[in-house]
Amino acid sequence: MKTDFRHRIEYKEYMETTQFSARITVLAAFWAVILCSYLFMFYYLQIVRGAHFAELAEANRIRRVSVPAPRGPILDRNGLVIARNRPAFEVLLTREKVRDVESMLRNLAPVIGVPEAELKERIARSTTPAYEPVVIGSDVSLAAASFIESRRADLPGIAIRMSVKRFYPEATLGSHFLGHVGEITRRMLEQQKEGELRQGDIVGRSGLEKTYGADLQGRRGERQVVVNSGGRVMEELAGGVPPVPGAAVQLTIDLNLQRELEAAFENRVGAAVFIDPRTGAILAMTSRPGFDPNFFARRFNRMVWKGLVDDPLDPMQNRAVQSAYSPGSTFKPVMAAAALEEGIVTESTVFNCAGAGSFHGRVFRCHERGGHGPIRMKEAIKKSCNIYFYNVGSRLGIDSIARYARHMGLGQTTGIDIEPESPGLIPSPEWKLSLNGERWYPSETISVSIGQGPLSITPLQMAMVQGFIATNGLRVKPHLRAGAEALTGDQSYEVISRRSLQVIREAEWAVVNDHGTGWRAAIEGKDVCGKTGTAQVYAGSADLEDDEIPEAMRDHAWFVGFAPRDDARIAFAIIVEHGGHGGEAAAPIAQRVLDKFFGTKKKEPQEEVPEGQVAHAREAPESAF
Amino acid sequence: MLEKRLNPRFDWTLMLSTLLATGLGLLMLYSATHLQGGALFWRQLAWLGVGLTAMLVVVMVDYRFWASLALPAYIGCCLLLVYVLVTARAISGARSWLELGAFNFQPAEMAKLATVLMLARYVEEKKGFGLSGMSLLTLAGITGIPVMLILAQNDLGSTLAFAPLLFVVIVLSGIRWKALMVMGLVGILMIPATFFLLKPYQQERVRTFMDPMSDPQGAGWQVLQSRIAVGSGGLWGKGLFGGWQGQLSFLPESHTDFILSVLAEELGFAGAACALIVYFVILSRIVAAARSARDRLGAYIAMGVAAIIGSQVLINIGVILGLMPTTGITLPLMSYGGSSLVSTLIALGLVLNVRMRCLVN
Repeated sequence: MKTDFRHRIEYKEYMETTQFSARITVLAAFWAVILCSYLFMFYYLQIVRGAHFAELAEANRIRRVSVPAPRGPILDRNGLVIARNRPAFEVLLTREKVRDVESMLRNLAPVIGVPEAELKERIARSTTPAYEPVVIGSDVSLAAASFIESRRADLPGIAIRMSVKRFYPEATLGSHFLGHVGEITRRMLEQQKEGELRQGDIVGRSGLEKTYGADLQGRRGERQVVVNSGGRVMEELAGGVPPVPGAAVQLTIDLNLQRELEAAFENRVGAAVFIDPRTGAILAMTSRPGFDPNFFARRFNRMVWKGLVDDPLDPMQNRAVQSAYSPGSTFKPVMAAAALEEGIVTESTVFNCAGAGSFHGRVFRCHERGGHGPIRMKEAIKKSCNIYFYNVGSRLGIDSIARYARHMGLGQTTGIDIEPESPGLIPSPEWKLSLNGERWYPSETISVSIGQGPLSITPLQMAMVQGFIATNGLRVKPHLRAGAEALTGDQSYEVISRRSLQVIREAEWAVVNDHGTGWRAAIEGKDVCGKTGTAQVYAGSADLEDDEIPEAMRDHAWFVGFAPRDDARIAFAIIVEHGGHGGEAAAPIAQRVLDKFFGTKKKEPQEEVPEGQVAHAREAPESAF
Repeated sequence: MLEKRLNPRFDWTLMLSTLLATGLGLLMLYSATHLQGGALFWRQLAWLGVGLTAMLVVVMVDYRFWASLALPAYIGCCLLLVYVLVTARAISGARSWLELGAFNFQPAEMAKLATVLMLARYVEEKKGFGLSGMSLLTLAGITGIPVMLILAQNDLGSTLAFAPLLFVVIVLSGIRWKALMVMGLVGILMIPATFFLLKPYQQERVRTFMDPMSDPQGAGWQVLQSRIAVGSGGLWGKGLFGGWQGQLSFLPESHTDFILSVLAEELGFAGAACALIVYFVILSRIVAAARSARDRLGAYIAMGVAAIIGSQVLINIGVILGLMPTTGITLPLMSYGGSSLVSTLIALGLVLNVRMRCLVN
């Protein structure tokens, strides 16, 4: 074909003119060079640095997930559950996966039941990277959890997780000695030795939850899982470590007695301690008003916290061990013991009470305006005669009083297994000198003789003093955990004789059983012994009737004692703030609790709890969480 | 029309390389997506059937006939692009899909092919040697119209193959090296300026490319995860279906833009080298077809196809290796995507066509 031939000539000429072939070669060489460099790059990444990237890929895929150990339960002396765990639902938000966090929070706030502003703050507070989930609802209802779970497709970045929360089925009961749990603080994290705890862990923050935190905590476990980029678990790997559940902690508390005590207090403010004087085991202990530790087990609720802190009645204060009160007449048995032991008086020494007397240049009064007349020790305790004890105190001197008071455990912490504890105060000339540089006036000793003045004692110390009197001077360490019995210091038979304590016991018996001020605590056949006391809040109160004084200025009412008189099994101290007279306000509480203790209790409270019983309690179904 | 004497000239090497690449792609596609069910695999297999049929049709009729359809095809593609722009709903930020029932189609892919034919036709019709300024502008215009339309769809990746295409045509048409160098210099100087024309998310990609660790959980994620996937493959890989970077979705888009990462992870350096060699063979066979073409039209068609496939391969692998910012360009023949597969197979059909009807000597 001619045209074809011409066409070919022309094409050939074009190819030559444009250097077509050479240019193709240049372009092809360009591609070839890049492909070769890519091949080298693959070699570098896969062969030279292969091991490094393999490690990175492994780290991508396998995640160690920490499994918190369930906290051990807290049981009463009979194995009844006072604190355990319960399942709870948490709402998690992963910021990286949520397109519009603000509108998401606005939508979720009513479901979770927390104000939007607080949710925003929770997000803002978290310092973790954006791909780590943040807990925005820590304890939502089952309904809320299933609502969110069923709308998972519409709520990207929101997830529901099961968790475990501390649960106190009795709510406010025993809240002060139980204490509360909460997220670990930065300081606790820094101070721990073994490095077992991590940020976000729930630990005991006060009370027994804190003291026995190490036992209750258990040991965290670890799961090894394969996750995808969304953090979703795709596969479970072998090689994890199961968590070791926390041990059960058994208390000396008798739950039924505790319930009775708190019920008897009704809504009054104050504190009470019931103790086994032979071992130091605390059978019941309360401080009123209480708080509900369940609030702390949930994530912080600002309102509740503010309410507790701002409450003028200070519900967080454990009045039984942290508050020291003026003892009033309940100090008189201590005075009596010191006087008998120092030989200043005997059982039959007589002082005359004329209703008032002059000591060291000042006139001091008895509450009985007309006077008790000639009076001996037992009568003086029973009738709470001030003049008798002014005489005793003036002869003893402050140093002797302080020495005996200290010997009976006053003015120092008892060493009970919850913190903090107030030591109270036993005044002395040295104390006053160091306080304000003034010397001690003998007239101040007269005030101290009837439990007034700068003297202060905690309800727990008071119960210990009564236990001391009841057991012929046995000094034990008060404790809440079963099996923590311990004697503190030496037996004191040599310091305060059985004979002296016998006189006081008989006198305290008379207070309750022989037309004394504590008659409201009497129980048929149980020989309850006790001593009432009135701690002045307002100096003028002695001259007025109770209903003439505003409640906040009324006296604190004390009632202390033990039972039975011979071979005592229980000693106690009760204070009702602004309750007026101890015999009226506090003695009925003692009567009700002692009635429960002697009447409905089937068996003797055990001295020591056998190991098997604790183990049994741990397997109980109620403590499964 | 199929003359018998042409049969022995059928380029079996190119054909087999093409099938090898698509086969590898299907295998990796299955591996990357079988955890989500195999639906994508079967859909891609169907597209392969469509593509091979179209390829066969293309091979059977002389390429001059197909080239004569260039103008209507080009105009048709541009109209489709406009139509898509107006109607289509946004899929992953780009409005570039034509919905045809279950099978969505991206007109941009066909537009590449139509542009190749248009450029080849234009160079063929200019009987002279060398290019006037006017014809340069015309070539740029032919390329520019679809590019503008695709850019308007917010689909930057699909436009990236057009520039190399124009460049290759200009180089081959005998432009003086000196003029080329001036143009190249101007182009390089323009690069920083174009950064400011990019959309914020595109700028972000460039920034994270410069420093992937600046945001390892955000925009730098893909780049980092791709390198981890490739690097952790080692020499022989983690075995087919054994790579978790892709399967556990650490690597997003593992079945489209990052399919080669999955291959490198599961089949190791051995597999990656094989893939590179396959693409090298494909490109060199296309270049051979261009050399032996019987006329200007055939030579330009082949080199146009080489420019489009070659640039996409080089850019895609560059991204995989973390040498370039993420662009959204697929790997021809291997990545999931029907329109890309079909248009690539048609393009290779044209190349086979050119090769079959070459000069006898």
